[in-house]
Amino acid sequence: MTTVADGRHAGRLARLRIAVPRGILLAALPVLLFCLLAVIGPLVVSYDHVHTELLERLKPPGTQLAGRIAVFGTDQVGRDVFLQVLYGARVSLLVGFVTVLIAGVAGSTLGILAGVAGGRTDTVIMRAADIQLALPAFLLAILAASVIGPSVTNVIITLAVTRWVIFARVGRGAALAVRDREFVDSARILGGSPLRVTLVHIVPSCLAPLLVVATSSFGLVILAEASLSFLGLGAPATVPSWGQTIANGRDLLGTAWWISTLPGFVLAVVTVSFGIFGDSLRDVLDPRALAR
Amino acid sequence: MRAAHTYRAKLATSGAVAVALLAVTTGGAFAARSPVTQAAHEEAQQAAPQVLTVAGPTSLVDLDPQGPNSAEDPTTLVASHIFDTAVTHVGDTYEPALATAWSSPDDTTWQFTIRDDVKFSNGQPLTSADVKASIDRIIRLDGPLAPLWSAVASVEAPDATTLVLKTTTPFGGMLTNMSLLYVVPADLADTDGFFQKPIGSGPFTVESFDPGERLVLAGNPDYWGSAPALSQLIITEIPDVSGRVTALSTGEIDFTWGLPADQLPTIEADAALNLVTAPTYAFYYQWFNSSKKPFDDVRVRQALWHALDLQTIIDALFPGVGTPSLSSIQPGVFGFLAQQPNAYDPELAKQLLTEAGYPDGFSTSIQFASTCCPGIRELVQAMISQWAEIGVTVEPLEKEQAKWVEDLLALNWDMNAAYNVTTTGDANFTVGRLYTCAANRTGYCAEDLDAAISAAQQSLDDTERATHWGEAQKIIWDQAVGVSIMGVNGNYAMRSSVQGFEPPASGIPNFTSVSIGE
Repeated sequence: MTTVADGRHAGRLARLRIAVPRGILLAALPVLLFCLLAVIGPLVVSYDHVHTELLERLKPPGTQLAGRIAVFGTDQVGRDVFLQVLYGARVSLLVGFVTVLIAGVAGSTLGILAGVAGGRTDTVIMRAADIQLALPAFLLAILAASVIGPSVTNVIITLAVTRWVIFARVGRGAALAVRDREFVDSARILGGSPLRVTLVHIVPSCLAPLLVVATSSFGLVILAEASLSFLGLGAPATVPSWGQTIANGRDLLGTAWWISTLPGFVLAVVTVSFGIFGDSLRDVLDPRALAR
Repeated sequence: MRAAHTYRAKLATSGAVAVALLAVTTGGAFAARSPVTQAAHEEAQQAAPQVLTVAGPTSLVDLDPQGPNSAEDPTTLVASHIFDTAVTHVGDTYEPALATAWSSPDDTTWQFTIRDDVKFSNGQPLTSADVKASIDRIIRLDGPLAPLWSAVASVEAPDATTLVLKTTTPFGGMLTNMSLLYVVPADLADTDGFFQKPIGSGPFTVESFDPGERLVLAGNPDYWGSAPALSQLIITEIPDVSGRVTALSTGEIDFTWGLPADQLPTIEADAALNLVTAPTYAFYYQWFNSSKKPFDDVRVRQALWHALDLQTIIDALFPGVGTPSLSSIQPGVFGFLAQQPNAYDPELAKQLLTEAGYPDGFSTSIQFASTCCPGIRELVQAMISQWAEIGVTVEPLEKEQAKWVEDLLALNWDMNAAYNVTTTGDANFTVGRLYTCAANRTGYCAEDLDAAISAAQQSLDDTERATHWGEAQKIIWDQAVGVSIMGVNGNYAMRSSVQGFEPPASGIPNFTSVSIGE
């Protein structure tokens, strides 16, 4: 029975009464918390990353400072580590969101185009993707960062350039799967132009897997941005970022362990949560799962 | 079904065995750092040749003692092991080294008698021609040490054991210069790739060199002076401070120095390690590029100095390691004269900025090398924070060592923060070399400063020289050519088996007298 719900008819989900896996709620919580804090946190609490408070340096978590408690302690020039994590979350969210948007839109478009058009277009696009994959992504990022210099824009561009391939591959796969379906054929026979057929009939069916990829990529992009910042090639030193905070505590792991460990833990939780969320999303949106 | 069950069981068993093996071997690897293996390691060291492995705070990129890196600590450290100098500076006097005797027949002539029994490690005899070539090379390559030799008009080697130097004006700093002149073979020094495996006459010879990774030196048993007890000296690269401290604790290296103040308690608490601290001629400093706006205005430079609360910075970031600087050189250096400390006064700073035409402050940058010296990043961050309070936004530019040196010498910077040593213990090395118009190292050029420096360099009377050096220091201080931040108490951390180490005033360790005991 072809009660397959394609993306267009997502509203039917509730009526199908699919048991939403508990994992998705568990993973959604840190994800939502992260997004919420990243957006609202900096608006509520003020923090100046340039300002050093030398008398408050290397204080352990929970120390009472002038007027507030250092929840995650302070670093070696007296800056509050929790506030660095909060403000760094904003950078991570921005980089993650914009990168996934750019890579996602560009990659998906190319992928769906390749899948629908087939032939030479498909070959060219997929070979370009293969070439991109052959280049070690991280080295490319390091090269770009050291040539152009550290800035948030450069990080976004570099990461987007290395990330579009997976969207293209998934988009192409989804487009290929849907291209020869009956309803697409019907639309074509009824006289729809290739563009209309693609946009109205094929693309919606590809959205579900692409959304899953986007969500999983989000976590990996955040991790990549932190890695670049750790190496000093990400956001500039005047902008707080998770990688930079972790790098600052590197020499003090034995004594002031909180500088590297706590932001690192937060980073790990966020990355894993995005991954699980993406996985659970796939379980929910996969048409074959729905048919069961 | 049974076959599947058995297969699955076998898979599970082999998986479990593999995991167990992995756990045992990794556990074993961790156990390798246990006391039992440590004792075996030390026993092997006693029975085996004397090998000392060291790692320093700064990256070693170049072995050329006359080239662009000739003023960098690691290059000087290696040079003092593989080459010889004409004289050595011991305390307040100069002792013969390659030169057995010297005299100054008249005001503008110096004559040195060079030993005839010294050979380079390739068997070639060392003559005055090699000393002449080394001096010519320093002047010709125009590196950071070249300004020290600006008074030299000619160098002649009339015979194999005589060296005659003529100067344009009387020059009192000749012996100091000769104590820092490393003699390289005349015919080989300019060949391509010579400094990849240089040949010298010193107590150690170069076995292999991987720039930025590792240098292996072998003890020279045929050394004309007192041969070293070590058979091998390995200088390895561990730029990460925590990595270095860990390597020292586990015995991977035997000696390190220049640790940040935060690491010293860890070293002191470890019974297997010794910590030696001693005052040095080293200091942390900051320069303004006086050839670039807005630092061409003395009021702006003074404003930025008054905005800094150096005492708090030193107390917080460098406890036990730093003492506030009172001049552009450290106490103990010949010619040192204490200056009036500049008060921490942000209000005065803002006033000076307004007078200079920057009531709302301005934006600029500060460069520093990532492997410069312990705590440089925190120091720069603290200074940037304090400058932000008077409205001056400073962007930190952290650069890799070689790039930093390149930009520094090309004056491609607005402000520069670094570490320096008055290696010879004489004011000429710092004041005379870096602050003349001809040297053009800071963009600051003033006739009165040049006059004071020349007078000091040309004077042959110690008291007179000291007076002139004092004058030069006062000008440098009052004109705020840079901010003199703090003097450094050197720290040297070593395993307790390392014996015979004497902390040098220059802060640059020497291992010629070191041996490995029990």
